Amino acid sequence: MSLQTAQAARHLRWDLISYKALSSLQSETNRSRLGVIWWVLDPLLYMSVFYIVFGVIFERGGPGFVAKLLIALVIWRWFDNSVKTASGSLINGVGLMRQVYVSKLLFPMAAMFAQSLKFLCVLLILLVFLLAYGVEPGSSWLGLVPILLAELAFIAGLGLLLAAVIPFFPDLKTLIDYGIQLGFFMSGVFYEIASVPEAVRGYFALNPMAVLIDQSRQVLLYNNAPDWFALGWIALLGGALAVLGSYLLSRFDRDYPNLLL
Amino acid sequence: MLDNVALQLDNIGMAYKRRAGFMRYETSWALRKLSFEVHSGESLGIIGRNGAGKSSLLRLLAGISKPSEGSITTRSSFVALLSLNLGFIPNLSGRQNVRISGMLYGLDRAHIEELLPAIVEYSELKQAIDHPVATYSAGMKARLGFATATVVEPDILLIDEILGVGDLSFRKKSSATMRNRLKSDKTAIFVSHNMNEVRALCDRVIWLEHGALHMSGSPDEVISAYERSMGSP
Repeated sequence: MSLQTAQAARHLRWDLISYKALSSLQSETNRSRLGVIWWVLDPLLYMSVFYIVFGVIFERGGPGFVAKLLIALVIWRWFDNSVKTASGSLINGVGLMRQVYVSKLLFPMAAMFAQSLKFLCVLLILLVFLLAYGVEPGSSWLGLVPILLAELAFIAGLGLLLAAVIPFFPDLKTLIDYGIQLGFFMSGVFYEIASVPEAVRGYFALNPMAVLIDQSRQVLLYNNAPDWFALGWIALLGGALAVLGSYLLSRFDRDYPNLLL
Repeated sequence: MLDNVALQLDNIGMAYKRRAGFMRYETSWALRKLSFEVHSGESLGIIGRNGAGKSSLLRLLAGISKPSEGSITTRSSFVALLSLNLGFIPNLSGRQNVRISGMLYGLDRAHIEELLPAIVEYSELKQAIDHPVATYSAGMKARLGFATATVVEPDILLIDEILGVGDLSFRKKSSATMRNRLKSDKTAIFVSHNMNEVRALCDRVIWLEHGALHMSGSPDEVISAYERSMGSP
């Protein structure tokens, strides 16, 4: 038996992923004075920045603008944080992967797991805010579940693929960060897809994040059912990217420790 | 593969790519055309100058990286390279770091919880075990890492210079523990610059030079030749 097949027997361990995610969150919390309060304060400050700029200074949006903005920011931030930390996760994990054999899936998975836990906490705050803001909860809110599942698939796909590819081209990381920045302005965070010119609306339908943000507003604010077709292709796309990313991570499993010198 | 062979290396080569300018890379070989066998139950010492390829070899044997050429064959699925700070996260307590290290060594959670009291006891850290590792002295960290490594029971044990750590009394204890493990009928591969230890603990010694096997044989024979080449008596 070759050494590789022998070691493959010790494959990916879910308990290790969750423990690594939780301990990195705890480590982050221990480092600051306010600790766990940052979990709430950080997203609140983030949202305030955009509210001040677009709600107060530019006086955009009209009625219900704050609710629309906050929904978009929460949905966006989960994607943004997860993909960014996942894509740099192998580079940050190089010290560990040179000490012991671990499945390289561990690094992006733990990163995305940690960000998703933070997101769930922020999502809860968002829902409480919407209720306080006077939004009537209804059965359409349940539509948020498939939307978030589609987003999870998309995040996992992009996160795994970027994590696998970036060690080969570390310079790509900078480009990716700018790409995500561009995506932020092109996904309808400050505006609604219905308000952009007809001619470019087709593009928004092809942008998964624009669709997910729009869909979240539809189910939370307008009592509409989710667009199953749109969610379906986003989940499929995410799944396909995730399969490709996982394949690359296991194909180059033992090359990464030497690649990242 | 013969019955008494635990690990077999055939024509192993290990190349590293190094950036040598804008978009240019150079290949350097850390190991080249290296073949040897490790027998079940033996303690094999590996010696050589800095940069001879010893750490690259241990990483290959631990399955961390894969050879650029050649093949490694084994019948054991559990090979562990002991380390004094495996995956340590400075902001977490000693206890939590033991859990992380243990999982990285391949132990399951329940088993680690069982072993925890013994590890804490061995490390002599007492209540400091619940303080963040960032507040530890270098010696305390080494004691924690060593105590964790003592509970790992792989089929093939790989050790990179961690026989004695900490202050004088802990050094005695840890050396004794390692000696016992190496003396037992476990298969072990041991890299060291301490020739007295290699002589005392290993059944056979391999001398690496520029990534290739320079000499192999009994500890006395190989170490004397090595010491002559280094210019010491």
